[in-house]
Parts: sequence; structure tokens; C-alpha cells
Amino acid sequence: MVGRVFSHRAFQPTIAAGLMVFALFAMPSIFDATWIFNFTQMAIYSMVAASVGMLYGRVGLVSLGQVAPYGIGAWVTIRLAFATDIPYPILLAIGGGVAAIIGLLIGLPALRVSGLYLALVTLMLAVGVEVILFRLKFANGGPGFNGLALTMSDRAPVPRPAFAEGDIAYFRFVVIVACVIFMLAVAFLASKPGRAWASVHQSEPSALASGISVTRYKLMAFGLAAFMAGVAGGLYGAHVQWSIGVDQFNRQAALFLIAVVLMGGIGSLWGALLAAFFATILLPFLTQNVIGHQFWNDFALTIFGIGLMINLIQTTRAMDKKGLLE
Amino acid sequence: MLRKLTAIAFVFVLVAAACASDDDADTADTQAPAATEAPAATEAPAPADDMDDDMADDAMAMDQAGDFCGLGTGEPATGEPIVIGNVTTSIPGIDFSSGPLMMQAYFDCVNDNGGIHGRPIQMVWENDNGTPEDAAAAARKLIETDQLVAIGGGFSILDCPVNAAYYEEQGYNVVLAGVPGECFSSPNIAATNMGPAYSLLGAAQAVVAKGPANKVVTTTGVSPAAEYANSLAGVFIEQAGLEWEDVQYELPIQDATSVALDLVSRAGDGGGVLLNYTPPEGLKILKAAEEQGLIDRVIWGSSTPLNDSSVAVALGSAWAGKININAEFSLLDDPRPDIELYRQVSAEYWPESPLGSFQQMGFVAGRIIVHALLGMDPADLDDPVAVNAAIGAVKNFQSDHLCKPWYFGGLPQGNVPNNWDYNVVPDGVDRMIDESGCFEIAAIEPILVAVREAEAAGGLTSDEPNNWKGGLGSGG
Amino acid sequence: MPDSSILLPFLIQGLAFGAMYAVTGTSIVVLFRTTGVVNLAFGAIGSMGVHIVWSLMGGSIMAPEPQVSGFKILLYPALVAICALLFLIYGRVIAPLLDKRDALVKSLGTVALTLMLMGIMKQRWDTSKPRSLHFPKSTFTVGGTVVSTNQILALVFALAVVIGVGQYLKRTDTGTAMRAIANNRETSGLLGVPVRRVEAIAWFGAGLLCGCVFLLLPSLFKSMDQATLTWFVIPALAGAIVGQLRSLWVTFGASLLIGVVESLLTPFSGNLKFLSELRRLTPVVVAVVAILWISRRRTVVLAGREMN
Repeated sequence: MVGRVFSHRAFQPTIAAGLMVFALFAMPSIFDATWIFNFTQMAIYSMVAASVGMLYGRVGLVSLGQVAPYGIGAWVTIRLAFATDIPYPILLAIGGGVAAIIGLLIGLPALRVSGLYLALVTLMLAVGVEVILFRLKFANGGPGFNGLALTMSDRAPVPRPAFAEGDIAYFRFVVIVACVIFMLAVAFLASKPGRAWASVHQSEPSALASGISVTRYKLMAFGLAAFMAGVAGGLYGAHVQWSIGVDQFNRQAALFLIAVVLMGGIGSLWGALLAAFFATILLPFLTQNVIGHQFWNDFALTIFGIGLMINLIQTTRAMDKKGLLE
Repeated sequence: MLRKLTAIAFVFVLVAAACASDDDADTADTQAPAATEAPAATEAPAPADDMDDDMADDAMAMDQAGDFCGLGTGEPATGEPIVIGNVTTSIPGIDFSSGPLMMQAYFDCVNDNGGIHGRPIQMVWENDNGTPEDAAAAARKLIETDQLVAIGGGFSILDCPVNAAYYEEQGYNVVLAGVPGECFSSPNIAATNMGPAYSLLGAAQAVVAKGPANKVVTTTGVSPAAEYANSLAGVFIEQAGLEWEDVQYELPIQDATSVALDLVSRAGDGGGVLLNYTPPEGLKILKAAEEQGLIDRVIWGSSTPLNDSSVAVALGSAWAGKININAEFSLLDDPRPDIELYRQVSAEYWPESPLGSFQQMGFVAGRIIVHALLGMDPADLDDPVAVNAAIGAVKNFQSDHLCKPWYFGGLPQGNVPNNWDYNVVPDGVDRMIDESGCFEIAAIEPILVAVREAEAAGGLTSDEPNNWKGGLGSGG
Repeated sequence: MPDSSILLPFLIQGLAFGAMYAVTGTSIVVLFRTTGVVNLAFGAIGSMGVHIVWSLMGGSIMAPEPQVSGFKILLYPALVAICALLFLIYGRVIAPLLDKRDALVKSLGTVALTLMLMGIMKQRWDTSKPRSLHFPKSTFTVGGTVVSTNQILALVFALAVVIGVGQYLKRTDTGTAMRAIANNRETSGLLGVPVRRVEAIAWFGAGLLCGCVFLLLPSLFKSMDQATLTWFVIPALAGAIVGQLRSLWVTFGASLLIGVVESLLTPFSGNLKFLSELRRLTPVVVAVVAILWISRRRTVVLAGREMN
């Protein structure tokens, strides 16, 4: 199993290992606190992007609603982090697990609808989760189910794991978790589910004909993707720590996510890193170094819109040239 | 192809048309139009020629008077700028950028009048985009990447909770305008305003004094800070023996008519409704209430943001005297010098901006920062430790905008230096009028109790409010 | 449970919003059936049109509510024209580039357009000050409830649109061509239906409906903030989803239902306050329940053929 993960073409172990070493040991000394903070967000976002890219690129399922498990994972992990002493890595797994269960529930109706309809339904469901999270709010140290503090003295930051209190230590922790999550995805892709997904992606009827349980594998894909996004949500909570709102999980974030994921590319999991780079590094870089920063901040959505449009047109041209569209 | 080009050209024409006729939208980087002649400077006394050893003391004394910008020399500042940065929220539904932009306008005026001992002072703001990760990254950028000497003048829904501990760790004393409770419960942050929680409490005091029937409803937008923002007003309402309900709506408000109907039906006839919103959101509700004929059904009140001349204009005659707005700052047509200076700076350096509370917050923050810097040894101006020590040491800062002199405090349980204010009502034409004179915000929670104790010990501020009872208000 | 007399104004307001959802849904359905594009940029284009017209009317921070007089009254029809032209330009310039892709990718193109327009609006019209663009109206009282002519107009207009568009599709040559293309684009092309021209008409017509919706929406919302106007398309989409992006009457009915339920839940208090707080879930719940019902036995396929 492990051998298969490392030999899978999506993984490219040398590059991955090199990148890990660079991130863990070189980056903290190269970049200042601002950028380490941004790179932490990039590592978190890459997991969400990977979940969308995997569903679309490998299974052919388009979810516009992956912000929902991301938000659910964040809510559950944050709430439990305040309420219990469970070690953070286990909390992440629980947050991811709850997100996965809800992902499966979302997956059930979604399985019965096709392509575009699936995208629209997942978008509606994400809006539903947004409305609920908006009202539930994220725990900030208070009592009760919500964990909302009513007095200033009760308010507290989302606790980070004891071994990763500082920004740099937390960055390393996030990079390691992200690596584990990516390897999990590769493990699935490299084994039986991955092959099943490939044949579902190619043609659902022929997959069915060759005895593949399409429903089961589609559900598995939804569950895995939701787990990945849920774990990312848990990491987001302890990354930001204070004043967490729904902005990462709302409808604008949902459309933004699909835009950067397509810009990053859905052919391989590496595209997720590129997508996260666009979303969390490129924009701060532009705002800080090119022309007036407030302009870029406002204008950012336009740039991503143009990026998405160019990407769609380019892929169409490329497919057309290969004769895939006739 | 030709058709496509025509079409694209059409789009550009459309956008150009929109841009050309739009005198709105002044982004942060657009410099306020350069003043040909700074009016503030012309009124200034002859610049002190004999600025030597006690130059700093003189400068402080001059700048406290509030008659002119900074040193009032009329000489443009040159040399290496001193840059002050801040984190501000600017998103649809919650846009506070007019605060820091007004501070920038004041800095521009200071720069035309000798700057900070000859050096210009500038403001940069980072938008937190309403997200905590952006707020945290922005503070780190300002302090560690840009290495600015001071953080100040920001106006954010997230900066205080997300960054208070970080600022303290880095040794920064921050003067800002605050929204969440953490802006008033952190020793190293002092706000020029009192924030929505205390301001709505002040509005509750005014509304309760007018005798609502039996229930008062408070409302604000759903946000992480929302519970706290309305809780103090709630405590006061319940202590007055009235029923209290808090309702939160998603921002931006989508259906103001339903919201207005909802609020009034919850409060019941003769009850009270207290709004805690920014001007665009609050206005939607009030306009809808007007259309639905709900103005006289309840007693209306609002926290400070609606104390804005554009709100008075938009409300019109139907609302004359009908909504009690808590004003954390003096009236905008107050004739005293510091407010006259604000109006002049606004007219000259940022003419697109209406007069309003948010702008006053930024203006006063700018004056405090300039005051602190002018009091320093010019050699220390690039040293963050010295600059933040000077900001942290500000005491008894006189400003006609505030009921009582301002101080940084550095009190362990938090600072609320602005804790007296006014109750104003719209005049039905184009401005707000004072109904109460300065009054004291009720100390019903631990922070304000501790603040009052520290003030009573002396040295921070005066005992008596610096009241303006002009001819416009009915007096209180 | 709120008193029934309290509910009347909420019912009227709910009907007005439901009507706006219905017109939006009609525009989305007709365009989708003809071109295969679900136009998620409906709200962004409308919002852009509203902002342009607001500026042309002389709106500014100092005049957040421009007063319209003289020839400027023509700017109201100009709003409709601007929306229709923005639709048409997208339909003629960008949409053909994605022509050969599936409906999903075509629709993602409009997501790109949404993001583009949002950035431009955010940059151009800063959000710190109130703005409004009011459509002229008067009010009258029915049983103690204030009703505005805009609310009535919204409802009447929606009814006229659903009847009118239905008749147009049935009775006119272009309408017939649209239905033919919706059934089978390739065959229609072979049979001599001028596909491009019919598609352009569909884009233009959908844009006209968009312009009409956004004439009324700022007045019904009492503001014209970008986020509200842009994301209006999402709850409005629910009605079209229930209609399976096919039936105009189902879309109409579902939209009205969503608008009314959403609005009627507003005044719930006490133990039922959660209903008020979660009333924005209405479109989601209606859409998901509809999907489950429709798909209880089979996979849902759009518009009579697999478009993916």
C-alpha cells in the first residue's frame, strides 16, 4: 500500500519530499512573520482546493459547495478545542470526520443529479450551511452549545496544540498535516477506489457495466473530499484563533474557490498547491508590491474572474485541438 | 471580428461613462487633492521662529489648542516621511474607511504646515476584508515587514480581538477607533470613540429616559462581536424594569421593509427600538419604517454611526426629532476651534467626504498621534520604542470634539477614555441637533467602573465635561 | 405564532420578492434552455447596471439618493438597456468561446463574469456610504397595511412575464426556434434554424428581464448595495431548480412560495425565533426537497438530455 502511494505518478516523491524539507526548515528563516502567516493559510487552503480538484479532476463530480465541509470542520474542531483537552491532531480527525458524515449526507441527494445540476445543488447546500454557521457562530471561549462568550473576560483564542503555540511552529504543524492529507488522497487515488473513480469519470454506464458500484465509490469520493476540507477547517480555527466568522465559508468564497481551483488546474494534486498560492500568496504580493495596494485589494476579484475566464477558454481550445469536443 | 471589437468598445464606453460622472469612490491611495492654500495655516499665529531646546514643548502647547494643523507654519514638510499604519475594515455592509481617510486628510494638512518637525507624516491602511486571517496578516505586515514606528487610526471590526495580544507583544500602543469589546479591554489600545457597546448603552439611556411602554428591542448585524455589542444596553434596559430582546440580521440587510416591520412588531406599540448599524444599513431600516408608517409607533434610538450629516439629509423632515442618536463626539456644527478645524480640513483636503462621526474619529486620532509625535525629541522619531512610549503617555489631551480630555491610560483592565457623550436628533433638514449636552455613560459593567476609578484618582482627564451648549440645541 | 394581522405586510412584501425571484427564474430558464448557460452573473450584471445608472443620475456620496427630473427620467429605461446589452455582449463575445463545452463549464464562465464585475464595482463604488436608486412610487393603505405601487408592480409584472414568455415561446417563430434548439441544438442547426441569431435574441431577452428586475429591486431592498444585489441570484435560482430549469409555471409558483415563506417567517419570536433567524434557509430547503422528490426514482437529467 505505502509502496503504491510513493510510486503513484501523482505523487512525485522526490519533489514532494524536497518541498517538505524546504517548507519545514528553510522557509521560516527566509520569510518574515507576515509571509509565514500567509503560507500557513496557503497550506490550509491547499487541502480544500485539493478536495475540489480531486472530485472534479478524478471523479468528474463538480461541487461548488466544498466550503461547507470546510466550515463544518472548523466549527466542530473549534468548539471541541474549547470544551475538551483532546489532543489537537485527534480533534482535527473528529472535525474532519463530522464534515465527512455531513458530506456523505449531502452526497446522497447529489448522487441522483448530474453535472450542472449537481453543481447548483451543492451551491445551494453550501448556502444553507453558510446561513446556519452564520447564526451558530464560532465558539470564542463561552459556555453552552455555541460556546459564545457574553463578557469580555470570558473571551479566549482558539487554543493551539502545546507543541505548536508560536506562528512558526504552527506553520510546521500545518505543513505536516497537509502532507498527511495529500498522501491520504494519493493513497486513495493509487488504490482500488482511484481506479474505480477513473472508470466512473470516463463513462458512468460502462463503469456500471463492468460491475463497479458507482454509488458506493461516488459516496466514498464525497466523504474523502469532505474529510480533507474538514481537517483544513480545523487547522484554520487555530491558525486565526480570534473572531472567526463565515467569510471563508460563504457563497462568495464558494465561487472564488472553484475559480482558483480551475486556475490551478485539476489534472493533478499539484494544481491545488498552485490554486492555494493564487488565493493566499499572489494577492498579498500584488497588494504589497504593485501599484496602490488598496486598488489591488478591491480589484482582486476581477483579476481572478479574468483568470478563470482565460483558463476556461484555453482548456476549451486545447480540447478542441485534440478533437475532444466534436 | 469587427462586431466583437465594437462590442468591447461599448463596454469600455459604459464603464468610462460610469467613472466620469461618478465623483464618489475615493480610494486610499488616491491622494487627497493638494491644497493650493491651506486655510488652517492662514489662521495660525506667526510660526515660532525661536524653536530651539523647548521646541517640543511649544509645539505641544500650540497643537493642543486645535486652531490649526500641527505646527501651523504654512511651510510644506520635506524629507523622509513618518508612516503610521493601521488595519481597517472596508467591505460591503461594514465599511469604516472614512475614519482613516480623514486622518490622512488631517496629516496632509499637517504636512502643509511644517509636518512633524519638518518631516511629513503619512498613513497607510490595510483592509482586513472582514476576515481574521487578513487582519492578522495585515498587522504583521505593518510591524514586521514594513517596520512602521506606530500603528494608529485604524477602524476595524477585527483588529482589536485578532491583534491586541500581538501589538502588546511587539510593544505597540495603538490609538484607533474601535468596534469590538477588545478595543476597550486591552491595556495597550485606546480608542477615540467608545465603540458600539457603550454607544448603544448611551442610546438606551436616552430612550429609556423617554419612557418606552414595556419593551425595548436592540438590533445589530450578525457578527462575532454582536452579542457583546448589544449586551450592555440590554443590561441597562432590564435594570430599568423593561423587557429586552436582541435581534440580529444578516449584513448587508436584504429586506429592510421586513426588518422594520419586524422590529416594531417585536417592540410593540410605544416600545423602544435601538439600532446598532453603520449609516447605509441603519438608513435602509429607517427609510423602510417611514414608508410603512412606523415612525411614531415606537421610540427610536441609535448608536453613534448615524450621527452623520448625510444621514440627516437622507432622513428628511419625517424624522425630525424622532430618533435619539448617541453622539460620541461633539456636534458637527459646533463653532469651537477644533471642530472648525475639522470642517476646514475636510473641505480643503477631502472635499468629497460628508461630515460625520467616523471622520471625526479619524480626525481626533490623527490629532492625538501628531500631538504625541510633536512632543518628542525629533531624533527619536524613527524609534518605535520612543514613539510608542510617547503615544502611551498622552494625558489630558484637550479636544472640542470630546466631552472630556482624552488620555491613553494603559489601564490593566482596558481603556475607555471617551465615556461621556451627547444625545442628538435630526433637525429634519440637514443636520443633527443636541438634546442633552454631555452626559455620563452609565457604569454598569466592570471595565467602565475601573476606568472611572482610575479617572477619579486624577491626572488623566478633567472632572467636569467640556460642554458645548450652542444656540441650536434645546439644551438638556 | 405571530398574530395574523401582523403577518399581512410580510405577506405583501413576500409576494413582491417572490415575484422578483420568479422573473429572475424565468430569465435563467429561458436562457438555459436556448444556450445551455445558467447565468450566475444575473445579479452582478444587474448590480453593475444599477450602479452605472446611479452615477449617470448624478449620485455621489453627497447625493446618495439622486433626484430624477427632466430628461434624466430616460435613465430608467437606460438601466434596462444596459443590462440587456451586457447580456448580449457576453452572449455574443465570450459565450461562443465556450460553445462546445458542457453546460457546467458554460455556466462557470458566468461565475468568472460575476467575479470580474464584483471587483470593478468594489473598486469603483466604495461601500462606506449609503446609496439608493428609487423607482417612482406611491403608497396606499389596505387594512392598516401600507402597500407601495412597486410591490403591486412587481407582482403584476411577474405574472405578465410568465404568461408573455410562455406565449412567445409557443406562438412566435423565434420562440419555436428556441424550443427547437432547447430540444436538440445540432439537429436544429442542420434543419436551418439560425442558432446564433436565436441565441443572441435569448441573451438579449434574458437581459431585458434582468434590467426590469433591477429597476424595482433597489426600491424593494431600500438600498443598492453590491453584495445584496449580486447574490440575489442565488435564492432566485432555487425556484428555477424546482422547475428543473424547464417549467416556467413551476418556477413561478416555487419562487412565489419561497418569497412568501421567507418573509412570513420573519416575525416569529419566542420559542420559534429560530425560524426567523433561519428564514434564509427557505430557498435551500425548498430546492433540496424538490430535488429529492423529483429524483426519488431516477437520475435527474436536465432539459430532456444529458448536458454533461
